[in-house]
Amino acid sequence: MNIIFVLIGGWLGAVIRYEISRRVETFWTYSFPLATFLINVMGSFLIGLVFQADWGTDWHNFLAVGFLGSFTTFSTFHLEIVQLSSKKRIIIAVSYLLCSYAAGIALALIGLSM
Amino acid sequence: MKVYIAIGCGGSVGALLRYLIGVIMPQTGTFPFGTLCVNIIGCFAMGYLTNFVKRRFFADNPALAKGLTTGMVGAFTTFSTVSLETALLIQDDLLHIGLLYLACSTTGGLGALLLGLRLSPVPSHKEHTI
Repeated sequence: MNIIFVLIGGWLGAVIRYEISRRVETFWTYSFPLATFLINVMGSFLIGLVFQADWGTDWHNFLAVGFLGSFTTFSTFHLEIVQLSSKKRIIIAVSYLLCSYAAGIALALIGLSM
Repeated sequence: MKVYIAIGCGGSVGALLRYLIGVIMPQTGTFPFGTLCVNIIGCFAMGYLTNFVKRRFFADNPALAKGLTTGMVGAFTTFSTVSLETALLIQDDLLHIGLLYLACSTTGGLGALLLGLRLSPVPSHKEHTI
């Protein structure tokens, strides 16, 4: 039964991530990967809130494991760092890495304290 | 429309695999090994698939390529859980373990991604142009 919540959450998370990054890419022309950054920090804030709210196993599997787990991404984040580095955009790559971790953890802490 | 279905299916499969690894590898101690493993495996897969989907077959099926990379591997790996686990370690006054976790995630992730890119056969020019 748990699996159904994970499957539906995972479906929605991936589709919404794709849609947001597609829309951000229509107006954002700089090399900083704004779409993935916004998705990852937003998801970090929301997972703090969900964890703090503690609505039980089903909601945890749907929202934290399924939806937010799938919405945010670690592999694309690291792929973008490798791509920026190979284009000699080292400063952007390092600031992307550090800003993502700093903002993600800070927002997760804020979510946990709300 | 096709691309949304492919990404949705990929996302479900990725989330399910991550959930199952969490069930098989329950957390023991304070260090989040489960998420670390998931993210490192996913980075290897992302590196491998980045070259793999440049094949002619995927040029004819772009939705399938997006479903595998953006959908499945994107959903399998997770950033929000890393943030949450690190935030919880900081709340428990275990900042040093949190920093070690981030260092392992990033060095492991970048190493696995570069390995995946290197091991993936780059499609030959011939295959591209046929």
